[in-house]
Amino acid sequence: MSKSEKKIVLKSLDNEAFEVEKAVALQSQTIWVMCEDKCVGNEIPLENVTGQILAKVIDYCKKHAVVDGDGDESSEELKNWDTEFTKNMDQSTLFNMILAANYLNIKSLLNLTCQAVADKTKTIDEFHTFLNIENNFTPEEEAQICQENLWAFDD
Amino acid sequence: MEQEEERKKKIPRRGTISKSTSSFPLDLISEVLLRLPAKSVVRFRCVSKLWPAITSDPYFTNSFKTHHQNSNESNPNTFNSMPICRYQMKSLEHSYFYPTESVHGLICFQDSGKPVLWNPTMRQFLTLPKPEESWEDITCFLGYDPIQGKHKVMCMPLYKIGDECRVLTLGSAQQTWRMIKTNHKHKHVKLSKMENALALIRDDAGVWRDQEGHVCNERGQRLDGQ
Repeated sequence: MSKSEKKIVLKSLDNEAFEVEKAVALQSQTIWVMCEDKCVGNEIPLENVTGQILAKVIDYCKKHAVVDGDGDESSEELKNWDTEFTKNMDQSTLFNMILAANYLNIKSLLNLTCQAVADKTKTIDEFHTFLNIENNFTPEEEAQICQENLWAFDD
Repeated sequence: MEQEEERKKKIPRRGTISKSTSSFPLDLISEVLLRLPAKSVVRFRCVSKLWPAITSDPYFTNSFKTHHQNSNESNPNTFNSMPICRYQMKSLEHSYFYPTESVHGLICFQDSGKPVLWNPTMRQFLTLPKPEESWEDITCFLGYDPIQGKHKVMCMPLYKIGDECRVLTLGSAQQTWRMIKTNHKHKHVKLSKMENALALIRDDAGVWRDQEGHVCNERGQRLDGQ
């Protein structure tokens, strides 16, 4: 196999190009299907992902591709790496990572990022901020729904 | 209207500049909610008007159950691994509560001749009407129909041999007791040991099965086409 066949170029929404090993990129089902169908050349445009997010996705895929390859690294270590990976991500990065993992169809990354949001988001206000939505209940409706589920609010 | 305006002012609108403008798809909201402990899911029902609908959808509740069964180890805070969950129940006057198992998330017991369904995850109780006015003492069984995806409650008089019972399907349009007549006489005996009877036994998942292990409806008719 020639060098060009082993590498693949991923191009972000803001035209940032990343050259990666094919084995790394193929963890994305979306990219896998694109390559399988031969509907793209060696350069794959990813219209929904910014360069900043794509760089992080590639970091994740690189880490996980290596481990699957040699099997030396313990799953324990990989778990710790995953924890560190999402630990310092802000809400907005996590939000976009979930969208990217969903679009690129990388199951394990989607699982990891959704779990991170579930672990980090403790209050109703935090959810509003995370999703960038507003409370659309009237105060009366909100009081009623809280009343109905009162037990869930005591600690 | 003024109140509404007031409210909007109070809600911090951080992130409108830095955050992506694309909205978060509903299925991804479910993905996040699936990973929360049950109590948080209930608390977050006030996040948006859509959320009570998402979290009470049968598809969501089934996925939630599956997800938390599979990830028990990695998620020590989920309800499955809690050793004991203790909370106050409103006292029911004449309830007859003997140790029983959960059938697909619900537990059935009785109070003054009326079957009561208890959802421990949601901490909800539902008292059903008396299956038959003349029945003083009843025995009730809870089952789960995996084909319809619905719970069914079967009642018959306690300690009497008969060929009829009453069945109520939860979540059906008319939540009423239907009379079911069978070709067999049956009597409630503890521990699924049936005398002179149609032996319908519930397995661990609460599915009714006949003597040979085939999935049945409450009439004892096989549902698996065999």
